[in-house]
Amino acid sequence: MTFTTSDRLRRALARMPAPLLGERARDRLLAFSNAGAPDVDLVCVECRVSSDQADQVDVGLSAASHRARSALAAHVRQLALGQAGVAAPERWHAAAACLGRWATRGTDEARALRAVFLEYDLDTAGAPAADPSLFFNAHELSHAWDRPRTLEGLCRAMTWLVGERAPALSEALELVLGVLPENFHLAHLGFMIPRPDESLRFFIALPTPELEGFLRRVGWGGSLAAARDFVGLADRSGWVSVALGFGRNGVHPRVGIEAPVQGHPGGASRLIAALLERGACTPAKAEALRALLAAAGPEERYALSHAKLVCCADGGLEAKAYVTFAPSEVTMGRLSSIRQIRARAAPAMPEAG
Amino acid sequence: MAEKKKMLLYFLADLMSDDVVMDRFLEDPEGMMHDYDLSEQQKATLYSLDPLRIGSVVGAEAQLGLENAVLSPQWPVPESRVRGVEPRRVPAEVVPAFRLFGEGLMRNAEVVLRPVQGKGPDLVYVARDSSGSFQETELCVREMDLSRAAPGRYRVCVRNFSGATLIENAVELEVA
Repeated sequence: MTFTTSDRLRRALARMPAPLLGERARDRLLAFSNAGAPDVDLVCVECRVSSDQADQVDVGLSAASHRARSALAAHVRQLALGQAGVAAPERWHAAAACLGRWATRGTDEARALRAVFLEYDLDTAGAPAADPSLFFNAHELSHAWDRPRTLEGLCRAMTWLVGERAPALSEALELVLGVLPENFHLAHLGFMIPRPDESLRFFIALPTPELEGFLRRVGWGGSLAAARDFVGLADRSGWVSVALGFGRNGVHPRVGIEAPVQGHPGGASRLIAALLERGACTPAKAEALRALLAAAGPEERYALSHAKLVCCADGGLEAKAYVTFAPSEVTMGRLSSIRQIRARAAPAMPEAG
Repeated sequence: MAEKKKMLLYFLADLMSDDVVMDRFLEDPEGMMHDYDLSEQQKATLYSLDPLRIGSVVGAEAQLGLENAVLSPQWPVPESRVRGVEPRRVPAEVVPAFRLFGEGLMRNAEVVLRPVQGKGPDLVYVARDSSGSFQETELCVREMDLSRAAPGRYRVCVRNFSGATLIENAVELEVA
């Protein structure tokens, strides 16, 4: 049986314990799923875990496979046509055209943008769907040791996705690229379309010892003093990932440090325990997260993708957890033993080594 | 999703499942691999006929393909790892250029050669040259002096910078 994204959301809603999702948030998520979400590869729900607050929930839709790309492109086309209650359909015209090409095999957009995500902030009462934010995976475009190439590729992608608004955003891009350390990886870039105080968000991995210096150089006025322990938790082989926003007033005061489950010893359960120990997750929410992850059935797969600690310039901290829902029927297919190659392709070759 | 071309995984799968592809490969290996846009690193891996090395590359491609395609939004970033080295067998003398292929490796990373048998100290070098992208990184140690290295097998590990966590891999270098 194949479930649509809306089906998956509804099934997940039924399994999400109350501490993670308050009644109002539940209602909004249900309204969102009933409105008909595109059938994407992965659905991600963002939950605030450092406080008992559970009224706000954001949902992300991620597409990488061609089937999902087509669905996401069709959804954005609806936004551009003003059929989904968005505030300014014209803001979606360039993205709709770009994603139409992106969903077509072999195009420049298909090759350059490996995945695209939409994130809906379901924090307002009223209509279930408004303008989402739009993110793209920039793995193909980030070249730490060739910044002109990185700048050129990212500017081109921004022009594809936001058209004439790209030049205004490229200023922030040039600033960030100009102050990054020698080693970096710009993993994702996001257009925060519904946010009044943020227009562009960078998701960057950089050497952990370079993080604070980079934030100072880029103009962030806060301190990571209260987050050093979390930075250690987020470190993976010397890399730490940071989410940094820009708006018309420059660097956004909130900076996110992201701790992925991937690479964390002991996986999700140990990461949740570590958050709990550090006071970044309430006991009720830790318990609820564990219960949700254990609730995966034969037809769906729930996983904790990562946790994010949001550090405010005024010293405030807030932690979030990102839970993904994906179908579990995905398999790679069996790969025959590579010994067959050894036997058939080069029978006369001597032993290696 | 990763393109079908440029992946050793797909090349091998086609080779094993399609006799026409196999015949063409036996007739013109280079031409066939060129048709799949395989990189020099992938070709060298295939020519090595080393199941562990081929499996490591194919496994990494499969993992990337799955991560990229469906199972994970690859958020925030994938893990660091070494997939292969070139050369893999060297005499105990100065090696002009020792290359490492992998992902998430930093320029000026420490390349740590750890004796497989656990005898002797780690040999540490710095890879000052780097190229490629985060997911297809090539590091190079120039003039790697192995003249005092004891003969034997060494596990090739990387520390992205002094003090960073050691990235341990199954990749080995043999000093003859």
